Amino acid sequence: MLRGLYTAAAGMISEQRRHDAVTNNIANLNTPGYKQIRTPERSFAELLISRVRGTAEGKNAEPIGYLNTGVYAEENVPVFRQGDLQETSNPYDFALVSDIQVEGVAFDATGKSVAPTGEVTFQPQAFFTVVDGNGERKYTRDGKFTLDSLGRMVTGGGDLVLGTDGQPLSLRDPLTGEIWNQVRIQDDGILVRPGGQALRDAAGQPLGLLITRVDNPYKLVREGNGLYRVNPDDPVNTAPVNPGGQVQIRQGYIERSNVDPAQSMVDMTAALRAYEANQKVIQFYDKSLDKAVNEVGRV
Amino acid sequence: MNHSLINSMVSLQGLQQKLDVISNNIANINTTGFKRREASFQDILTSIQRQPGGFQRQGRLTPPGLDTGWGARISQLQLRMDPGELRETGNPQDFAIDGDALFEVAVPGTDASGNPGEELRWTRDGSFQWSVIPGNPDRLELTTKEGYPVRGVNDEPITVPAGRRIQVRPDGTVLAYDDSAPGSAPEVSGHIKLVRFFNPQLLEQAGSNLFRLTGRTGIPLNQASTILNAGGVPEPGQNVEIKQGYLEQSNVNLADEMSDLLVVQRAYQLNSRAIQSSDTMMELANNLRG
Repeated sequence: MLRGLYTAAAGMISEQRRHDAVTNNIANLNTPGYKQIRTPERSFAELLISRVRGTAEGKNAEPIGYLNTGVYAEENVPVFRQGDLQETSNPYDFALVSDIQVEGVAFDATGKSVAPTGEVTFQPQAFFTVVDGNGERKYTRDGKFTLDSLGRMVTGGGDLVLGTDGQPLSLRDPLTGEIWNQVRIQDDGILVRPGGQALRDAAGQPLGLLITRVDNPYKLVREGNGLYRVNPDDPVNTAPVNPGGQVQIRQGYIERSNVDPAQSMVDMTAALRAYEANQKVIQFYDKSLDKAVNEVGRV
Repeated sequence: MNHSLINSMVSLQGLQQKLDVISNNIANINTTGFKRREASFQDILTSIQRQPGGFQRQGRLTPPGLDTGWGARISQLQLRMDPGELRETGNPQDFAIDGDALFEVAVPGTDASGNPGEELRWTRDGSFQWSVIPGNPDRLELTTKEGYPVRGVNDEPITVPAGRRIQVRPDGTVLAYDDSAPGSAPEVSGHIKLVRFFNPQLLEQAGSNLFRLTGRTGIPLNQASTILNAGGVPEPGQNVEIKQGYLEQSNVNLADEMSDLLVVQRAYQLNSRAIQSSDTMMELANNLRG
């Protein structure tokens, strides 16, 4: 059969995936803390093409050259660029601004650094830490929290937000049962009650939101609901980080989705047209086959 | 299947709901004591398509498996209890609360065992009136516009003698002055109850500008709220007072709602474009053999 037929079909499938990723970005234009995804495409492994009949000298495999027989889109990569901050004046909305630097490494605008040896370092990112119903830790940039009926801070999906002591953060006074519903966050991340007293954990330490630094954020598994988790087969370094300096928490703000609508529109059109072009190529192959099958050899 | 189409379709539903919330807020821009609601989005659970080991090639950034999202949905609808502006009306039957508290109102309903009784509602709308009590021409009762009695700290309706000049002190104490006998001491006719909810998200709108405690969480009233002036006067540090002759305006800010409306409309447009685009893709696939 004609090799190009399958190449064009692979092209259609990859363009479809690219289109899916772009529509998903467009769908999440207004999702706080959403990180845009992009779909890199790669060619199939190269094949060495040889002539079937040998040359006059009796060699039976004269190489012609290399050929790729297709393209595939195998991964959706989140882009961890900082989203814009939007003021909501809601005391339970928090936004993270993170620009973590690593000593001796200069990151470019995409959060990547390539050493002269070819080694690539990715910029670490900061996340809010939450725990789901099964006690598993998850990380999120969506700081749109609220209080549940017990006075614990929860995400929109109902996961409990962790405090710096690693326990779910509760704004309920353990003695009186009253909920401190006017907490303020200081620059150093400590939550204070009206009147200036810091919230304290069981050990008497001041409490704040647990912010986790993830060294290579691309290794996190995207889960939906704004959550990421560590891949147990290939764990990535995580460590608590204190706000101030490179990581800042802003109360009363949310981090908007970092999707650019104009860019998305262009990407969508590009994916659609590339899909169309591949479809045309299939039609041309179809015509060639038509000729070969129905016209060649007709008397 | 066509992911793109599902992504956009699901998101259109969410955006439509957000439009509903915004239009409800705008419609109530002049409703006394109205509290706006706010909708926020979350991306829908990602499904991971398994990939064989060969896909983990050099240069790949993410863990194995192709993760795909399914659009966005409304994740929470928050009631925003920020105070509205207080407007002076000069009407002695208008009351506004300056601070974080609510009036308590009793409406006809059923009690726990299903018998007719009273149910509790709370409101920030203090446009009350003095209503006639059937069978008791000597006294008047403080009610909302709909005629629901406003409760005092003793959990009873507040009644005053008819024909008196009524003054309400900032702490909620109701005084009835007899102007026909100048200089006489006023009758203390009760204290308007002020309730503070620890977590306003436990309240839901019940129509007629009233809130009720949502039954979903099953948390009892005495753990969800506290009475600020149980002893007649608010405890120090509560920062709350009743202002007679004022009404609280809605806390809807038209500029914010309009810009939200624009953002949502544009997102809606963009998503419908995405639907068109995925429709074109399906058409192309259908016409492979033209």
